Amino acid sequence: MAVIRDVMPSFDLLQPNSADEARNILAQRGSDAWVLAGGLDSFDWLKDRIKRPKVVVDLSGVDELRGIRVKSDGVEIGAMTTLTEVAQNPVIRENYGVLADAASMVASPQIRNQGTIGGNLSQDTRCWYYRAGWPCYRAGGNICYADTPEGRNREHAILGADRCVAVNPSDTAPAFIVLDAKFVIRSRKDERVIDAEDYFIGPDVDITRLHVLQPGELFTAVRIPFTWASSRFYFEKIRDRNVWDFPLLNVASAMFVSNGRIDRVRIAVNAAAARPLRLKSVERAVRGMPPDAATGEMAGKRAVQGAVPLQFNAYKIPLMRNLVKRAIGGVEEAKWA
Amino acid sequence: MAEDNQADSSASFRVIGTRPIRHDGIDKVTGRAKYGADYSFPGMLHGKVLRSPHAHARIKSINTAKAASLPGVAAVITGADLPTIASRTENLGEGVVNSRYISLNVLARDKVLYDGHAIAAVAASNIHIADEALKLIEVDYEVLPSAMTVDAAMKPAAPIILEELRNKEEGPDKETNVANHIRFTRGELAEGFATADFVVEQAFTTAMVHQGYIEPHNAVGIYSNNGFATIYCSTQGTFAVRSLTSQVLQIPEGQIKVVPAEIGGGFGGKLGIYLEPLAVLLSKKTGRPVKMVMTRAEVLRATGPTSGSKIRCKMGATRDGKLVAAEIWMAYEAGAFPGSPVGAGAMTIIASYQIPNFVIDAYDVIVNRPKTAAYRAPGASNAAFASETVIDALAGLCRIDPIDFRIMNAVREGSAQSAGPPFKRIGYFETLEAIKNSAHNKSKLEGLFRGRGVASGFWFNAGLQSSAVVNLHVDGTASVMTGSVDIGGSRASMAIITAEVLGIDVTTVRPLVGDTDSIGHTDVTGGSRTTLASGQAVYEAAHDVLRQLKERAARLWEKKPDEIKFADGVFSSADEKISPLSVKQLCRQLAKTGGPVTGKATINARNAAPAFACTMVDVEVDPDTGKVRVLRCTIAQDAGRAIHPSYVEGQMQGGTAQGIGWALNEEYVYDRDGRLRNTGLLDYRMPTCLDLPLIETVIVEVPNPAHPLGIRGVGEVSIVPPPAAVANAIYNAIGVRMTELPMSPPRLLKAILKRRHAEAEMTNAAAD
Repeated sequence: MAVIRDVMPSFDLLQPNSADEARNILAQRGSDAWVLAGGLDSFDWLKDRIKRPKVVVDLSGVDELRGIRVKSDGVEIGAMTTLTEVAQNPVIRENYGVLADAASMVASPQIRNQGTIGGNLSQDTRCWYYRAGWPCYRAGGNICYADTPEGRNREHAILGADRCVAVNPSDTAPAFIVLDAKFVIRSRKDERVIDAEDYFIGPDVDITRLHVLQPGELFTAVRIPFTWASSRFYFEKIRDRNVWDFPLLNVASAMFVSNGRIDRVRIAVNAAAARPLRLKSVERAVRGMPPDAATGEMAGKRAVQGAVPLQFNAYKIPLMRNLVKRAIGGVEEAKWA
Repeated sequence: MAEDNQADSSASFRVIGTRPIRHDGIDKVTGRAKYGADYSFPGMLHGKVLRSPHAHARIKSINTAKAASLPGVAAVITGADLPTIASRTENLGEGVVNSRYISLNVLARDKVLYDGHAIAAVAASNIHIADEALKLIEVDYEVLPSAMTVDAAMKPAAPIILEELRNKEEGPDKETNVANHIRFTRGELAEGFATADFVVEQAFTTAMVHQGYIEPHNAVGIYSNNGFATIYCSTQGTFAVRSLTSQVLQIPEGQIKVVPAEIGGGFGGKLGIYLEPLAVLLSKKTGRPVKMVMTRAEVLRATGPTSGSKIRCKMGATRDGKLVAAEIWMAYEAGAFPGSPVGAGAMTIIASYQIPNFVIDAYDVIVNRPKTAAYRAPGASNAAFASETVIDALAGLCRIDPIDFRIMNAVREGSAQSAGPPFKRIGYFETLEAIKNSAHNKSKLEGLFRGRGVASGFWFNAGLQSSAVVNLHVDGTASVMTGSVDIGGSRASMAIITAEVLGIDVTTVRPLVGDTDSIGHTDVTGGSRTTLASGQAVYEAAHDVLRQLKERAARLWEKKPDEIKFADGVFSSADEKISPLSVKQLCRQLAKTGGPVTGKATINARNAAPAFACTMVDVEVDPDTGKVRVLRCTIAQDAGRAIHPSYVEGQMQGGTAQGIGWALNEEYVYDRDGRLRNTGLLDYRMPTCLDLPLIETVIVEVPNPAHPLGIRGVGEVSIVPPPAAVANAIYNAIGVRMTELPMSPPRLLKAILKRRHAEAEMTNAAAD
């Protein structure tokens, strides 16, 4: 049981002024360093004493990591740009409505003012056993408490579980995946640019992390190509309340329709697995089909193939089926009364 | 006058019914008001509590030596430091408490009974050292099997939680988890159901929920060498804290003074004690003031909640809509010690209706969860969720509008209560009429998957003891002190009543809340009793002042007191040569007419009168996701008399908001082995402003005939209807009858799919 102490433990706080300085610090301090962006995920970990970094590298003074820049081949968003800025930016609203929608549905207005894009994409899972400091697989142990007969797992995975059943809680991750965004990751020596969907990893790859960021690396920016700009977007997030709550499930899609047929499409869901899932088999199946109710039904069924419920999350299967149905077929008046 | 207790039916008021700015408002919104955690004293230590990680375990040993030797630690106490006390029950206004169980709850002795149960407490020079010290306390547990639900606890082979517990039915030799079985009956059940054309029977489950006050529990204890203790804390009842702390620590009541801080919400959860005796005992051990403040996780794990419950409700009606019989079985989780509000649940569940035949069986069941505390009309919301849902179903079968169905069966003056004497003048019919005539009911609800539901609520309200002193100042202003902690705007009401009687400006009346040494005994701010009982004490104290002022005027003018007239704040005489005097002018003459004037009154109010509410809710349901949106909500409630209408509306809206949270999202989530998982406000989901519509209010005023101002009490009944009203609206929207709370998206989606599945099977069967 986590004892919430409501106060900070002691650590060395380093506040670089530039990305170079930040990368130097990270290179020197390696796995001792904890990168602090908006602080919304970090402060829980630190106050609860579940994660005990020696060094906290606060990026709030690194101006070059902020801002939204329009380039010839797309839009670049600095990793420290707030969710509010993303949600309200006219270029993003105009071209990438699915991202504006996703960003505007994160948590609460206060959290969106403070929370950053980099943080939203890199935040850790909400599994309450893991966050309470229980020695589970993800924490280096050899049990998953959520997947025991005693466990409570209403919010856990229906797909891709491997020992650990935690899910990725990001709302913006599926939007970036359907936009074919690239994430820019820099270390002191290199820069690598990876596809959004490759940034996230499941427990089969590394059970202790939700993404590929290595010690010493800094997530600096997101680049969104114009490929999917102004396509037909859909984003929906289902949560218990209308504010604060993480998704029970969310879905994002982008499609181009010509002659009444789906020409190109991307669709992704999150909170179903430890990483946001791009539903490639659904994309393949609906290509060439009309974006209507029947196609939506078919897409929904296909999306949940292979889903395995835990004791308390069986609802996620019909929920995912219905969200994918809507994302592909649109929200039509169901024949239910 | 007050003594004859007749309602002033002329009801021509100057101040009552107006909406002045609350007297405590500016200090609260500017951060000057002092809440419990704001109190600090020189040399003060900080205390923390070690809590059980197990739902049920025997404490084999506790070793505090390492903790005590940590530098900065001043004292460590365990259950062994508390006296053992015999059972003794006391009514705090929202149910009976037993001081033995309170003591066992304050610090566990040989067993811990729930996750979060206090085991030991530490006082240290700062909170961090206290926290570190807790980790050094070694507790050796023998973990025992737990019983987390009424079903598990009532099984024949259930783990026994309190070995000493017995109930009358099972006898003195039988260990049990059933603390009490209550039965109410009337008529002949079988005969009643035989006359029914329609019978509906459903089983309901409601989750354990927390009151959700924003301010955590707190206490500062200061023990002096002369054996006197002072406690600063936020509480709903300073005298209750004094009495309970006195019993737990075996310190005479007269040697304890309790000073009320401002209170950041209570809703019944701050009637009892948790930290107060620990702070005093730690102060006694250290000779220094000790402050203790809970974290949110402690609040959720170890204070407050109200019962989760199982209720089976069967009711019958004739084709023309007359309720003829009801059979009800209900079991409430008491938490680890007896005292769930199941008795009140049983007394309210069908109290609003004239039903000639019924049997109600109610069980108070202990489980390995925190000891439940009162929560706004305790027990009634669980009960109404069941009965008001079944009534909705019966109205549907009878094809009668659900409001009309309730009007047809509603109790009125002279109707027998399901448990108790016949009702006096009540306003249930008027409340239903108000909802029927509301703009909401007259509006048309359009759109797919949208539905409208209504439900009603009943609550007794309490009377109990109150004291008031009105102190007239030389400049003609006044202060009024009561012992009632101000939770819902009662200072404003006390000032209004004083100003009304004395004919002075309400802004010149300063309302005060006294500590236990400064004012006569006053029972808790609970049971919707404060404006009724403390308000009546104030009314009588102000009349005491008025009587004395008439005597002074008489002395000044050499008349008899009954020759002095008083109207609109002005004293006059029939003698035209004498110029009238205002209260202010007369105040300048007090010194020469006998000295200062204060008025006082104490009462034990026996004139409480029931409150009824009816709530209408429109919802939109997303059948693909199970998500419910509350579109519109209107509540009509009988206030008797609204002294400050804004605070009456505030109570109506606040209770409704809590009821909607209870309906849709709030629940305690325990692991199978009894550890609470959602110990923060992210996962314990209270509604936010974005989850609620504007809650429209209709104040109904059917004056309480036994009260001089007609007051009934308004604090609680508003929380009773919402769960059933929302469930009925969901049924109206999509035809799915929800029988489990909360109706969160996963649960509702499951119910929708179950219903679709059943329909599909029926279609297939028909095709075969």
